[in-house]
Amino acid sequence: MRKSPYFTLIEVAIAIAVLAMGVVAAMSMISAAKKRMMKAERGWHEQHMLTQAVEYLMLAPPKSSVPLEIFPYPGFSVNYEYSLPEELPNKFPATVGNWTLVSLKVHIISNEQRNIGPVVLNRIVKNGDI
Amino acid sequence: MKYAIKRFTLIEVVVALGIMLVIAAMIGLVLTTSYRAWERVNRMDALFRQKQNIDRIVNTAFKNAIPFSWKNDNLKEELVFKGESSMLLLAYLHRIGASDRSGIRFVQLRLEDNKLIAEYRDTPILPWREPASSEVTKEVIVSQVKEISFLYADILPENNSVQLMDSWDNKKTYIPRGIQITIEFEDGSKESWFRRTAASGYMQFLGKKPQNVIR
Repeated sequence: MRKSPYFTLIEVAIAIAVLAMGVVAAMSMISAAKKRMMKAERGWHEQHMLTQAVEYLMLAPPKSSVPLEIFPYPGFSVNYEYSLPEELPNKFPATVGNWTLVSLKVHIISNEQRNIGPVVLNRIVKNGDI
Repeated sequence: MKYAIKRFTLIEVVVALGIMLVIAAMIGLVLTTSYRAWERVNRMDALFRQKQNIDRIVNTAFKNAIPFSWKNDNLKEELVFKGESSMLLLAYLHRIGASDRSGIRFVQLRLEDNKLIAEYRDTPILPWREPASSEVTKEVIVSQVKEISFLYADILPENNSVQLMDSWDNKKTYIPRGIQITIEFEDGSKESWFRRTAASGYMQFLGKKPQNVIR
């Protein structure tokens, strides 16, 4: 029996379906790569904003606000609070002379009230500073 | 023997061409969209890597910057530090990778042909002398940069508040408490990196003011 030299409709439909599946797979790979990239970039940016705020706050007097030159991120604001450090052994007082060891807890709050952080660091301040 | 020749009618050809054009247009659209998306992902990836490169330089050079002095041409000790709005030269502590290497490295950051360039040397790059280009190791930190600017932080002795300046007075005998670099990329995006210099903090600094210079 001689085989027909023409493609049947089923064959053409299957070929198109295979091609479409390849294109969809490629597009989904690109889309997944983009999502992963955006997630990594967002994570980096959040960490970067926290670092900017913390680096400045560790240099400035305890009740300072972070200036726009250092924290130029519209839609985000720096919040921080001080407390006595946790896990300090009882025999070691937090205050020695004019100086006190305190915990600085820094968060970034977005306009949508999303909380980024916190970063907690111990720092030494003068007794009257906070 | 005669063969019957089957010919297509004009309508059939037009319809077939129409279907082919629609399929070609759809494939073209999908491929173009995919290619653009891929290019966008690549651009984002390149920018992200560049930002990570800047993280590396600020976390090594800025965070470990130390006061270091050297005798100038008049044999008077002068700080090896130069902080201008568009360039920075400093000394910083770094890990010793080989026994013949110093634990202090000198770096100069500046913009050249839209690239942020770092020039390193193990011996002092003296601000009062132009080093020969062969004496330094050059590294491109970021490309496609439109502009760079630096800010220098000092502490005002009156109230201990932070003062930010766009250049550093070379008469000062200490280095800034913090340094910020701001980079404006060619795509219009802008980012800043601020780091305290080595051992700088609230009422803390390396050495003794005003002569806090490693000798």
